[in-house]
Amino acid sequence: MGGDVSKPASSGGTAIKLDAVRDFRFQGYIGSSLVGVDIGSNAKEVEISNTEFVSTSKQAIIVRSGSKGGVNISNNTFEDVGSLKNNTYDVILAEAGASNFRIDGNTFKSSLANKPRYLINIASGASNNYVVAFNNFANYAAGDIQDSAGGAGRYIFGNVPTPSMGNIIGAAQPGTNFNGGVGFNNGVVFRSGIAAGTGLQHVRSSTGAIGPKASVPVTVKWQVAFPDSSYTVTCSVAGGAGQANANGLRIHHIESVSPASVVVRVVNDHPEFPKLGSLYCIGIHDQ
Amino acid sequence: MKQKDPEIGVFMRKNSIYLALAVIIVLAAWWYTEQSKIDVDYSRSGAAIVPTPTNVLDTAFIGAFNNTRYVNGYKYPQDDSGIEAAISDLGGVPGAVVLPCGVYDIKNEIVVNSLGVSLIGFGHCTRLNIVTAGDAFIVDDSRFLLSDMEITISASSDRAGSVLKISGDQGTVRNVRIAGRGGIKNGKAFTLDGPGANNWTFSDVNFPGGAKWQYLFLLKSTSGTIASTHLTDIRVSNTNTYSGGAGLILDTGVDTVTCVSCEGLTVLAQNSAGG
Repeated sequence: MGGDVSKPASSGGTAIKLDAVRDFRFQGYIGSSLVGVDIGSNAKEVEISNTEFVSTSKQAIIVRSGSKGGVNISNNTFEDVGSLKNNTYDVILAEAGASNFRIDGNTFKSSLANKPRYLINIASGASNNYVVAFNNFANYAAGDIQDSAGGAGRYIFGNVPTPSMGNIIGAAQPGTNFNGGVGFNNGVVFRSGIAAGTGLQHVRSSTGAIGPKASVPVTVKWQVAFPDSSYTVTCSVAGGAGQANANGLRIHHIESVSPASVVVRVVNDHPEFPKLGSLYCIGIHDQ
Repeated sequence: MKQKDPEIGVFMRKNSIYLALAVIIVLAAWWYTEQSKIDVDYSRSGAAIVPTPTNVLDTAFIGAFNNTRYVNGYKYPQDDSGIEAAISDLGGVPGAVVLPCGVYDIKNEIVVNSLGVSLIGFGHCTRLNIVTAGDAFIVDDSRFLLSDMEITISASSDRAGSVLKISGDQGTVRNVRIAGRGGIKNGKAFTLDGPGANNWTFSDVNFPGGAKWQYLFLLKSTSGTIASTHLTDIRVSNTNTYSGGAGLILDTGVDTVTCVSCEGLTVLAQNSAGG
């Protein structure tokens, strides 16, 4: 990994190797190096911005494990990186445990047969507090953020094109993903529906016919199974189209929850006739 | 008795005003030609030059204005001794030493130990030939300026010294091209040595290729920090090599470095002294 900075970049050196530094800012041009920038564990407050990386044989930027943080990689252009071997090197690699970095506003291009493995690869480990946003991968055939980290405060959003390229592969899902908590200080307007996910989902299910003065357990299956049973569920019963006789039905209690379904006991209070209705349930996972 | 030719007398009377004007024009032309010589003769350098009115810029009369010294080969030889003498003549107060077009051999180190010395060339035609294997300039005081010149390593064998060894603060190097020599070790370009070398700016500095250097820039302080170093428009050929590890070495006690529009400058940041 890396290279010898004393060599000319054209013969396989690392252009910028930051083993230990505080408050370093670089803008410019890095061409024909083995590795572009190697940010070590004792480098703090490093900004690599507005720089053109061209013909980098392996990685353009490596953020090493244990990096002290404050690393900003912004508004750079990466062109023909990882050309030494196809599908082997990442343009930007954050090693396991690297935390407190931001990768935003970068553009990625390649015209070579040998392509990078991932454009941004955040290795598996306890990486915390990072943002990957507003990067442009439009010149690649496959979308390529590999986010395998499992720490807190991870935000990946706004990268284009999305979601058709499979913006995020690995642990997270395509599309715009907020992997940490999100606060909205001025309200939220949803201009489209909310698709079922493992954090929040809703479902409607028929109760089936319930005899007079009887109760039955109704199993409602979630569209997508929750990761576990740590979720809050609320349900109501109503008549829908063709179910006008739902009047008289009420929910007695929720009997049980499982990752895939919830069991609701529904009572028919009508003294003479069976009733049929629909259960409307919303489930919100704890984390 | 010889009689006056009446026709000549008539002629003189009629044309005396034109003759007077002709004399005045001839005198004015002569005066203008002589005044034009009081100008800078860029073609001359070395000891073989015969003093002419160009010497006027070396005189104490000019030096008294604006505290500027002009190293043109008369009062101040165009070499390290002349530059050092000119700096000394600034009298320990801020001033400028102007290096007009010419070749200046630097065989011995030049110490700058007074405030606000500006060493200003005329661009590519001002060339410092670094012959010494040691340091060329030692800058011990604040607000030194080195600008607008070509610096060429001309040592005949490997050298270890710096072009500038710096311990003073708030200096500037701008519009300088520094060419190493092929086939030898060219030593160091800029050494910022110790916590006093704060707040330096290097802008528009060009290092052409094919040279072996120890490094181009070293910032190192084992006690205290070197803060706020700004590099702008640094162009380095990627055919240079560095025995010290990189073109720019940030080693121990370095705080806040910006490198903007930097092309081909390799960087190594480390903490070798554990500071």
